Amino acid sequence: MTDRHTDRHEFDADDELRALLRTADPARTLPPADQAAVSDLLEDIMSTDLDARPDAPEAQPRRGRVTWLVAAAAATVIAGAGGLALSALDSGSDPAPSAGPAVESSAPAPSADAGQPVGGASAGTTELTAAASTPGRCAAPTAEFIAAQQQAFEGTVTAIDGDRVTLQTSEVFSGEVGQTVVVDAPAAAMQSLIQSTQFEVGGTYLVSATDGQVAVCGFSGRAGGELESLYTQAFSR
Amino acid sequence: MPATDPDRRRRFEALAAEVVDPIRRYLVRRTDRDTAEDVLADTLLVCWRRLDEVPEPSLPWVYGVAKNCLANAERGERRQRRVTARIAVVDPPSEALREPDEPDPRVSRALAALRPEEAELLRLWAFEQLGPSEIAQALEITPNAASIRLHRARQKFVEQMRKIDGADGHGDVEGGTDR
Repeated sequence: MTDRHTDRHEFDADDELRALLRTADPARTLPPADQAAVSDLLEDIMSTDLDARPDAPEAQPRRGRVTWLVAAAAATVIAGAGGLALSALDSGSDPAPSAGPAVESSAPAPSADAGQPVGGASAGTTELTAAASTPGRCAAPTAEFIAAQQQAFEGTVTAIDGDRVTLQTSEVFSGEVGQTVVVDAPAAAMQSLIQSTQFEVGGTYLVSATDGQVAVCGFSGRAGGELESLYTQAFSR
Repeated sequence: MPATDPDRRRRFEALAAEVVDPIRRYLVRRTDRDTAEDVLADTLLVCWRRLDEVPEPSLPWVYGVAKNCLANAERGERRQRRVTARIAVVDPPSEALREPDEPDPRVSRALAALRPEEAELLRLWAFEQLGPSEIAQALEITPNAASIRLHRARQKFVEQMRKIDGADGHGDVEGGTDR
């Protein structure tokens, strides 16, 4: 090893170069992933139907499954926003849609216009319906629109049974919402609801409704992403 | 929905344990945090669907998947601008963490002066710590091509660094690329 001008020398120089380049690595200071969020993500992925969409990673649906890791953090923001909204209501600055003492039973006119029997509405359950959305008639979702909805809440889907999705409420942003919320929809509407929001058991969703009708057109959907920001915006003022 | 066999789940979980962190870093190096989280999910979903095709060692192959998923996401991105302000609200600590030791600013400038393909080769080599054959797999090119291009990219990078040093030495920092 008398002569350094060899391959060996070049190799050392490469190592130095590599080390130099690494100083510009944007991921050097990346905090570790939240393990719980990673587990949720993996579970979510493993519960996808392998046969339903024959290997189309480029297809749309992935937009829907989105930001689990960030969503965990976003939930706290939303929680804070919810608190703000509620205190605003307490101080009477906002017209609360209804101020009944009991949280039980259905929210304002659950399905009056749909003429559906609300039979079985038990204590603490809010019933909502979803009408079929007409494609092409959706306005761009805005925080203003969401803020104007009578009810808005975050919930986790506990069951999907035919025409009925059941959610467990985790956070109420406005209006009166029971512990449990069931959303009924005629088959066609359910189809579009599920397609647009990808309801999955165990998934967490942001839902808003007026007159017992779920706002489908991009105003309700899986927690996280832009919807989360809209809700945060809508209820933090 | 077909019952998922436990063996498949186990294999996927083992794969995920191996690739989640490197892929996360790979994506954070190349896009904003928000898109990175999305694309991580996309990448893992592809791995889950194509689990039987995943070679051993898997990581270079998964880098290739992440690369394609990222390209797709960014195509979509241009069509509908996403709200990136959200990250600032949701995730301020990680931004704050970026400060610690200052990277050599010349490195980013030199990388930026290279052709995108050359810079990407150097990133794969230095950030992801891949060797030429792994780079080949990640970029879906031949190992020979990877090796030659990497060599060339390194040379060009060193040249750029020299130019920057030269320019700085003459007090001509900005735009003095041909000096």
